Amino acid sequence: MTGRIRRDPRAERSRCLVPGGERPRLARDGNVAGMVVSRRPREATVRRIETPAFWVAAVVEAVDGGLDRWGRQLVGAARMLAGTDGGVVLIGLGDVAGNAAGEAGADRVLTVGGTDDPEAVPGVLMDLLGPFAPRHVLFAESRVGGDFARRVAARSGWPIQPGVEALNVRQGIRPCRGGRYERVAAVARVVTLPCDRVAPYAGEAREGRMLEAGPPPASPSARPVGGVVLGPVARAPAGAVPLSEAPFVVSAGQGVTDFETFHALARALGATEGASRVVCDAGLMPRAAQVGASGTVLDARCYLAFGIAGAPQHLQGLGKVEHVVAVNTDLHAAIIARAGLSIVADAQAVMPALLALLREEGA
Amino acid sequence: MRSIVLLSGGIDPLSGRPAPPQGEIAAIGLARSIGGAAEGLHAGGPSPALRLAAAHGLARVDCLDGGGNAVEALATYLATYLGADPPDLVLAGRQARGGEDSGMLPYLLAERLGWPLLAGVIAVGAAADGWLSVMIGLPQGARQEARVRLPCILVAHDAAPAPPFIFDRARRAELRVVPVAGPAPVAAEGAAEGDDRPYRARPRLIGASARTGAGQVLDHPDIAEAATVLRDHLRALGVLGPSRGASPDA
Ligand SMILES: Cc1cc2nc3c(=O)[nH]c(=O)nc-3n(C[C@H](O)[C@H](O)[C@H](O)COP(=O)(O)OP(=O)(O)OC[C@H]3O[C@@H](n4cnc5c(N)ncnc54)[C@H](O)[C@@H]3O)c2cc1C
Ligand SMILES: Nc1ncnc2c1ncn2[C@@H]1O[C@H](COP(=O)(O)O)[C@@H](O)[C@H]1O
Repeated sequence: MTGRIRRDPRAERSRCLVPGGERPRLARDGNVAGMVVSRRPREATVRRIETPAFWVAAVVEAVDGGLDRWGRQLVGAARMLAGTDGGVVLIGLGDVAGNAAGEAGADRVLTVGGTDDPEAVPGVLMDLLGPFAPRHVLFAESRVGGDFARRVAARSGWPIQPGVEALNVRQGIRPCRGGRYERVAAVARVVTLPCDRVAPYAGEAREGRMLEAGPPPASPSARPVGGVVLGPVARAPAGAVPLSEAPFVVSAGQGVTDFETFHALARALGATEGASRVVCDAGLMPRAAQVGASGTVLDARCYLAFGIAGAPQHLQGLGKVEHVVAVNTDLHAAIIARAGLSIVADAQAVMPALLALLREEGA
Repeated sequence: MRSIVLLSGGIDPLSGRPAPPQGEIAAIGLARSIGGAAEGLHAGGPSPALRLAAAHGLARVDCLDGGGNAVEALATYLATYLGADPPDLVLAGRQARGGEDSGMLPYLLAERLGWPLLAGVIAVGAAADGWLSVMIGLPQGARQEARVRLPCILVAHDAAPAPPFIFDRARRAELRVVPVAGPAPVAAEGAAEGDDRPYRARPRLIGASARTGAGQVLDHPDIAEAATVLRDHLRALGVLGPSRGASPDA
């Protein structure tokens, strides 16, 4: 027996892949051997931190009772800023489940409901954040998140870095001076992040412990609120939303011949109509409905495709869509590889069946 | 109704030439849609971009000379110089273009004046009993009604209808320099820390949204079953309302 350590070439190779293993790691210096460090097998544990050295807060809007992509990216950014010593507290505007938040990288979770009055927001958020004395507070640069962040910054006097496009522990970079320059500065106390700028957390799940918000302290500094009364939100009628903004698009391709049912179904679903290029070329749908590289790039949450093959030029229009649903007779169509739910069936049969189901419910 | 539109005097991001930001043009549109007098107000010296903004419908722009930082200068001007004839409404754009571009100024001003602020305003309605009804533009074409107590600050939605550019107005617009006590105005946020360098476009994360690999596949299912699965899936995604049935016009 020699004392030589046996090599495991397979393990070595897998360590040269990014986590998840879809592609090799980028090794700029070409030193792949240096990366071959022995790694303990990953145990499915939850990482806890009892008394972190400091806190980083992420204020996240809950979408349908969970975190969406943007929300996970915010928590991921907070986790990155917290490093190993810090803790991440997620302030959920709406209900956020603890385990989902933990997987996204949060150590503590606090939820607030009823933030109807934008004037009251800074007071509520600062009361919640007060006990944590967070080093950074992260918001989404969305309509609501950006508004809340600026209100909090204006009230507290904390420096703010809005619309940060690149973020690491040392610095944040944001465009300024008309977008012709970018400012590189240390990460400010309040930061807002646009979508898809920071990767979500991919490490070991964190605890995500749900905390109870303490009773609101009667702060003497609280200004009288009530200068704003918000009314109900009116969702735009499907026909009136431009295709590029529509949240839900139903689209027809070459596989659709029964356009009457298609239009009726789109109306019953409350969805905006789209189409592939071939259908628009044939004059079966207006040009404005074309989805894809030479048509409209969607910002929808859900895309329902009937009889669309999923050509690359078409899929380019779906870059931002989170959920694709496909109905196609061909199991090997490219769209099926992109879809979260695929139904391999004739569109002319599925459309009326779904329409009947919706009408039945309405009756 | 007397409204004042805050103008930052900006540049065009592409050419670098003076041009007012879209949001401020939208703010002028909102001010004009209310009716009554509308004037521009700028903390800083007269600049060509102000004249171009005025071409969208302002007869006069007051440029504040002095007053400390921009928020202080504006607040002092609104409180003191307009004390006898105060505005009911102050409108601003979402973000300046050419300076700090943080969109903080209206918020700081609202905080300083103690006025209510509402952002994302896409249309204004009528005023009654000291309250103004407005329409807020939300993403994906949704709208929200709101009422706000006057006087207030409204931040215009970039997509609020913009009034046309009229060259003659640009020529006639009066840029009035108003001396205000204090040093020359500086950016609202004070001396910014950090280094400026030419902008470098950074790609967004790729594949952040696209799922890899196919999801659930139903191969030649029973049609009725497929329809049920489809409906339940859409409902779970939250794009289909909960069993509200067909929409009224179906
Ligand atoms: C420069 C350039 C730009 C382009 N830009 C665009 C663009 O912006 N947008 C765009 O869409 N295209 C674009 N195209 C065209 C694109 O390459 C494809 O030709 C087009 O998207 C195909 O449309 P389709 O999927 O509807 O048709 P097809 O490729 O004919 O696919 C029809 C699909 O329907 C299925 N099917 C057939 N019968 C049924 C049935 N009864 N029930 C259910 N499914 C059925 C078939 O299995 C097939 O998968 C572009 C092409 C070029 C060269
Ligand atoms: N110097 C200024 N004078 C008057 N209004 C300003 C000035 N700077 C910014 N504003 C207003 O505040 C908005 C947001 O600007 P900013 O906070 O600089 O991004 C702008 O769209 C203007 O309406």
